[in-house]
Amino acid sequence: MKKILYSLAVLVLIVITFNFSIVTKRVNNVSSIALQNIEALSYAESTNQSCLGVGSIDCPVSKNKVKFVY
Amino acid sequence: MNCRKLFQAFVLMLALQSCVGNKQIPDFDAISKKISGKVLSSGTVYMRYPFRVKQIDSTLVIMDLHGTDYYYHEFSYPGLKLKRSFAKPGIGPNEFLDAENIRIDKQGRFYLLDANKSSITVFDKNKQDIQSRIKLSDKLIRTLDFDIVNDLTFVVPDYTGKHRFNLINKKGQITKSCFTIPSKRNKLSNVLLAQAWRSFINYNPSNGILAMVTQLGQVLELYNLKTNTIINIVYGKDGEPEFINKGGYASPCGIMGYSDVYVGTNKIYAIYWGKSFKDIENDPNSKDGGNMLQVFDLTGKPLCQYILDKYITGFTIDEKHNKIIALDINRNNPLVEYQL
Repeated sequence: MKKILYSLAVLVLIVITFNFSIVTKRVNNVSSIALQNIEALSYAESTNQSCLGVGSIDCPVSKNKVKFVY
Repeated sequence: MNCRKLFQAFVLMLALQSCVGNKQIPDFDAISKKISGKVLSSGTVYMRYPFRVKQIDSTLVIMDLHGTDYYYHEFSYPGLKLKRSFAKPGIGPNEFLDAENIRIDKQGRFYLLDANKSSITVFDKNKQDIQSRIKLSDKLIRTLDFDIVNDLTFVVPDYTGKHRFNLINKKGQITKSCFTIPSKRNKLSNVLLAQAWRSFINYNPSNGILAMVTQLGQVLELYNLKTNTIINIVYGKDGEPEFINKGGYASPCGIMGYSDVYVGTNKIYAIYWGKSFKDIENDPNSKDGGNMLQVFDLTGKPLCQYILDKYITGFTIDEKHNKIIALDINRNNPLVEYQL
């Protein structure tokens, strides 16, 4: 009986730790993207983005409709 | 409660937890059917990239996204005789910098969205001249689609990304801002997210449903504008738009998703490409357009998927005759008709 309860408690601890690591990872990812955005918006003019072809995607640089945005 | 029951409850909890996040994935494979279309002749009108087609009563209008002489061509329907071409590309005051979409109101007036001029131009039914031009609010950034809600209001998405869409009056001023982009991944960078979530829209005033489909992902959003509620957000198996932040702009790196949507009386139709940019790059003969016409009920439940024999960009539904009128840019005669 005690053994089962102990193993259950250990399992719960493992799950909590696992979930915590996922949440932490997500938060870290979002933060880095946010930082990138702030940096990128500051240097919007120095973008090295280019657009190619004839298509329906809105090119943020030329404002034309293109096939690829790189 | 004995230990075994406790353990079973725990396992059940774990199983349920693993399901969180996969809210709704429509599986169209089991409900697909192939259909063949009939190519229609639109005469000698040359169109470079026909992208939108609208049909109301005896009028059919095709929008050429890369028009050289004119952006729009009006035909009689079903006769398909050219009545007039209008909206000249150019930098003059009565010319157009680009063409995004056209809407037709109950009185037969044409409304043309020019994102580069940030304006909606109104054409009278039978006149060649512009009737009026509505300058869009400075608070909107790059409005790439719109629809008529009623005699006083338009619905527009835009690149500010603060809200999912705005209602604007006939003076172009925002009267109401609604909801937020339903991204599960990133809620922080509004402008970037709005670029990546660029969507095509359609509103049906009879049932009050606004549908939005993502160009760079597989997401269908349904809103009820009469009750101001979210009906459903349907994430397909290809999921949210994927993008890389390049110099403050969203650079798409996932797939080409939807390119047009139509809200009918009882059903919603959306044309889906489902091609990755890698595949398009690797296959120079890859056709522009999608051949999967997905059909949903008004709550977003998948009903069926038509596998078309041609690749189409835009379409409309003639509900009276149960037909799809579609545009295939890969052929000289782009108009194609499918009987449902």
